[in-house]
Amino acid sequence: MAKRVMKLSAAAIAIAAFAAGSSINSLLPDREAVLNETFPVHGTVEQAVEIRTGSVSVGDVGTARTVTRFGATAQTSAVFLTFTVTYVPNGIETSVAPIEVEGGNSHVFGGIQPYGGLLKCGASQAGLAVSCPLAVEIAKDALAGASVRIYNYSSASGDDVAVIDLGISEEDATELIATAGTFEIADPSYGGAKP
Amino acid sequence: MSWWKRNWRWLIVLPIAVVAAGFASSHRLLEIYWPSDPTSEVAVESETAHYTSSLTNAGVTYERAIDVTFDGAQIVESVEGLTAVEGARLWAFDFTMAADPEVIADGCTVIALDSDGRQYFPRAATRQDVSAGALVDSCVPFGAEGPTIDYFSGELIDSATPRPAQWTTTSVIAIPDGVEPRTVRIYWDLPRYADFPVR
Repeated sequence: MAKRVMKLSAAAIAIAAFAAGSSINSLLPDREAVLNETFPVHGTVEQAVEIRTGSVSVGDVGTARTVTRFGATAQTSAVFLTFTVTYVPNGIETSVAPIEVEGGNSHVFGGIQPYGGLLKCGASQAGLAVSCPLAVEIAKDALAGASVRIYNYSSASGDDVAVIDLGISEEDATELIATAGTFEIADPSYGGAKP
Repeated sequence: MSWWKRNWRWLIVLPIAVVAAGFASSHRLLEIYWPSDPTSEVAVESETAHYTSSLTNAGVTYERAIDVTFDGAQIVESVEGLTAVEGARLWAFDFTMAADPEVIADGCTVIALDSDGRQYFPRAATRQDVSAGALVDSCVPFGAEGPTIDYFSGELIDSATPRPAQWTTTSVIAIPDGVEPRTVRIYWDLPRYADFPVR
């Protein structure tokens, strides 16, 4: 009798353990979600934030209707969000990319731009700052509340990503759109261990 | 009968099971991380590393055997139209290499390391005058590269001029002002690499 009770107890414990394991498993993210998980590091304009491969900051935020690069011109009926990314590598990767803008309307803007530019910054060496003027074409209603996302070059997912809040209010956005002019994308500049 | 006596067989199996579980979980470490990182150092004897490794392309494996001697490093203004950006100096690392002319010797990577182990990579923080010069970090003589792989067809292509049995190369790396390289590392196929002290 005692043996039968022990066997039944063992079976019940085993079934309960399987049920608990299954329940926990259903709550866990799947493999793909884990591998693609990003680790946002938040910052604001002119604030240096540390990601795995170095330090990044965003400054000189503005807007433009026309962007020139290498003498070529691109115009938009929307708006170009312009800014400068400064990256100081720590010796793991020489560049940061991709760089994209998450609009206040939650849409993401990036990729190859109308002026032919790739949204990256580099290449530099450990401890040597590189500053890259960039322009990203975005919808006008995405400007207020926009943030810049800067990824490690080697792993756009499953790694640190700097999320820089540009601090653009609705009023700021209206003014920035009204005053958008021409922006020339200069070559990256180097020097100093800023930020 | 005590618990230990009843379960002695399982106690024997337990460490074997733990080792087997560890081995079964080691796939990424053994197949991805270790082979793609510099984890197998080639010894340097009398300033020369006898570098050996394997290169597999399109199902064909080629063996490399190259003797690499580090001849020294110095700061230079420009090499083949390549200059360092402001805030950095251009360092040239000279090597003498020797290999059978049939060995594939192109495609090496040279990086510099400082005393803290921070790595400095070729081409970063440089400016290239596109009208000048050839590649300065290819590790083989320009025009006499020896056999190279056509990665589209998988076939070997011989250079117009056979590569000599011994040749010299220079690799350049821009390193920030005030930083002295302590080590120069060369490799063709990770995880195999050779480190030379920079004096």
